[in-house]
Amino acid sequence: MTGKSQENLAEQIECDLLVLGGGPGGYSAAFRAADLGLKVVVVEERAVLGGVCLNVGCIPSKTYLHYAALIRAMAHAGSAGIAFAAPTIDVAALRAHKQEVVGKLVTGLAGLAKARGVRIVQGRGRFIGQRELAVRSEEAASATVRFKYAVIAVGSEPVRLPHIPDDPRIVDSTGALELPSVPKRMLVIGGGIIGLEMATVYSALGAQVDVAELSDGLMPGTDRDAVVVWQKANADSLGRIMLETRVVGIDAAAEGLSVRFEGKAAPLEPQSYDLVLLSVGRAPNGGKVGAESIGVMVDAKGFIPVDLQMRTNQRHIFAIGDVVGAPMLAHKAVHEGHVAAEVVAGELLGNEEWARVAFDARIIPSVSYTDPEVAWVGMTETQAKAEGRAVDVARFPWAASGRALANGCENGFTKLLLDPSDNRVIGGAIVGPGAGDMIGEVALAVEMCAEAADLALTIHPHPTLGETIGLAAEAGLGWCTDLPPKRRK
Amino acid sequence: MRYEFNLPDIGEGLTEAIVRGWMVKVGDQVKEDDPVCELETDKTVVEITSPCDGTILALNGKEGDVLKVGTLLIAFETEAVPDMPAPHGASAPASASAAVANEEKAAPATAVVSGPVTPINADVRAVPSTRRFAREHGIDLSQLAGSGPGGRILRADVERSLSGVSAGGNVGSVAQLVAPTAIPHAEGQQRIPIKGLRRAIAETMVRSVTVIPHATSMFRCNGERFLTLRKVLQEKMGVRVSFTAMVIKAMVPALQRYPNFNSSVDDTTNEIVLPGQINIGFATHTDEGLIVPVIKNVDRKSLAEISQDIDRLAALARDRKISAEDLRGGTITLSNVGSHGTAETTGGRPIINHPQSAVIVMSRIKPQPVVRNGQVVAQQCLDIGTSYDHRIIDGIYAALFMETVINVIEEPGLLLGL
Repeated sequence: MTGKSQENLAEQIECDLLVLGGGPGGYSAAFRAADLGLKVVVVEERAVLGGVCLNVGCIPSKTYLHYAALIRAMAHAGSAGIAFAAPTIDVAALRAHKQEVVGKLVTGLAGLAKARGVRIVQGRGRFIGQRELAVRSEEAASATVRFKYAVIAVGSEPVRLPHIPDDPRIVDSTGALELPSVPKRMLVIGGGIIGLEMATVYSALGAQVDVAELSDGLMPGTDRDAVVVWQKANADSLGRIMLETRVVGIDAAAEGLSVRFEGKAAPLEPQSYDLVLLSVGRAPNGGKVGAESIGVMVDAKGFIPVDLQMRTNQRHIFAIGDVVGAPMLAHKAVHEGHVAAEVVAGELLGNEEWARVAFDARIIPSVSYTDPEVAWVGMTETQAKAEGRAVDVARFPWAASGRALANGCENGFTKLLLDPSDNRVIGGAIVGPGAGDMIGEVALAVEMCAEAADLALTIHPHPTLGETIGLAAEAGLGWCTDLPPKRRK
Repeated sequence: MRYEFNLPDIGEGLTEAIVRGWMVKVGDQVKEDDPVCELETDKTVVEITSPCDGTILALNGKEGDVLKVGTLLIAFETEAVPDMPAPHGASAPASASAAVANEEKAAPATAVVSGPVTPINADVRAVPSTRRFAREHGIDLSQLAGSGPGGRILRADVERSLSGVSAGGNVGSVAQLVAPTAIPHAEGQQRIPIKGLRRAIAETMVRSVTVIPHATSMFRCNGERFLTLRKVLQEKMGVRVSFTAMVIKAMVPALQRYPNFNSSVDDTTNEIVLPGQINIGFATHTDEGLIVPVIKNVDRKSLAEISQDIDRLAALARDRKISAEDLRGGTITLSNVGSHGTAETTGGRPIINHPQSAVIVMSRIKPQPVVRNGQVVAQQCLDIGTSYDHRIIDGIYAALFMETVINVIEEPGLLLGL
């Protein structure tokens, strides 16, 4: 426990709801709770809100990816008679631009918090009593927050591997987004979404990027047909993609990082890189806030188990976001944050309806913001096969889409998974630019228990990439007139 | 550090309990597992033991107060916070949430009931806004039939369920089928709240007669062999058995032959559920109301064991110390109305212990006039009858079932053969 004398000096803050962590989950819970009438305090260790997503995750990476896609598009414009010279890239300016984007958002969040009377206390929080949190900070004064309810939203951090040495040239996603410089040769360890997004950015900026992945495929969780499209589209821009391969050691020398591999596609000789990105997953921070000491269950991995209302085994303590489990996605955290806030407000203010709210979303979309983007939601063909479940696959290849041809992205596709008994839409995947923006329609269809006819009979605008969703539904029903006829039996 | 111990989930879907008494007071030092208070639930009295070593800082509730599961029970000062169980995930029983009162006062918390937090089954066809609406109003969507496309449950279906009218064939909320009637207040009245065990009985009775179409058959049979057998067992084996135990044993072959009498109907799936066990409950009167302890696996027990079980469980029930485990799992119930008073009942309509499919009622063996060889003679008779669920049991099977039971009562030696 903390020294008594320290606590006597600390400011005592009282509130209805303490939110530990100011990322997308945390601030969403805090703002919703404040909107419902509660007195809320957010404890956040950074000097700004936004967590990983805003500061060293989603937003910086999407900013860079936007320009990476732009660079790639410029490179391909030559086939249409518009030849761009290779771009001159001012890394410092690009980094500054990213920081400007992030800065606008964090300032906006601070404003939203102020407008709601939500107090932000900077520092690291640790539970010291069932309804007490101690906050410590280098920069700010310490404080003790006394609360009636708490939401733990402390997120996750990149997994470190013990056999990988410490070296400024070996970075995690946070370090990679700092964009210190464009290396000549880069290795990405981990072929999941984060690794491939960073590979996309760095290769667009001019680095030669190799990828090493432990499993037998990139982007685990996605159907293989989508990954194949992505791989083909990136074959020229990426270096070696080594599947079923692991890094056994890295020797950090002045002239470069010498990486030793093992596995199916492992090069026999060690390879030399200027920058290595370790993106092998994220570990939850549940074990770092003293939750166990007040009886909150935290598992061996650092996850905090919760029920459908986001409640931990301690009735007045909730947890949301990465710290409660996969998928570790900001949009899941936001919705969980809303649920937790409503349940807490319901209990404190005697509102039975809010107190009964639960996380009932059935599906959570995933997106790889690479180029092309890969987005999927609900049932996948891989999952259906593993479960032994029969599904109908309704596919629309973008080679048949006028807009895709006009945009030069005819390698993409849209597919819907339908329940064979009633044609209900139970999942879908899209590969191509803007896939992430389009998958929401499929998500809506699944949540609304829509059937293929509902999508097919909704008029989508032409010529768009989005109409491929309606066209895929038509194809599933045998109505599509933009594809070759189905062979009559 | 201060540790707040909330009223734990006692199980059986119970959401509240009444404080019967405290064994400790504020300031007492307690050790883990020391008894700290007694709570009364619908069915039984439960002793709560201390979850940790420590000092009592506050007790929530006076004797007679009703507390909801999950509200503060005792605040301790302790260094060792106990291991807590995992939060309820998919199969959470009903748990109430409480407005957290001022920590220093042990004030009863104002309760906002939140109901069970079970996931909405993926097969339930309902859009997000409807799912949320149902949650907010504590409606279980899996109990409703949907009138929307493809069987989709619409908001209107949920609203109708809230107002007590059921959509599709399901009996929605049983208690809401008829609008409640108020009795106007008047001078000289006494009003006694129906709570605890009384309330549990009331709800089960209403549910039973609302859901189950009761048909009844009453029989009179020859109890002479039973009377003789009881004496023989006492003399030859030194075992004192009750007629209740003997009838329970006599029921076994009939239950094995006519399993519908040993079943339940699942209204949600329209299925007859055969439990694969024979667990016979016997109605026991206690000062606070009717309790039905259950003897498990009767088919595997001897008459002596059954009789001992009856004695033991009945005593526990009367002392309100019977465990929840001894009250659950019953597949059919026997009610012996002959053991009380002197007035002789000549019949009646017993109510089935929902969700079972039948109840057997028996009375005292006593002399009755019967016709034998054309003459009226006095014979020791046992009156025995049944109410049964006419959805799944037709009259003829009721008759055949009772005939099988009666055959054993009239000739217990048949148990050797059957």
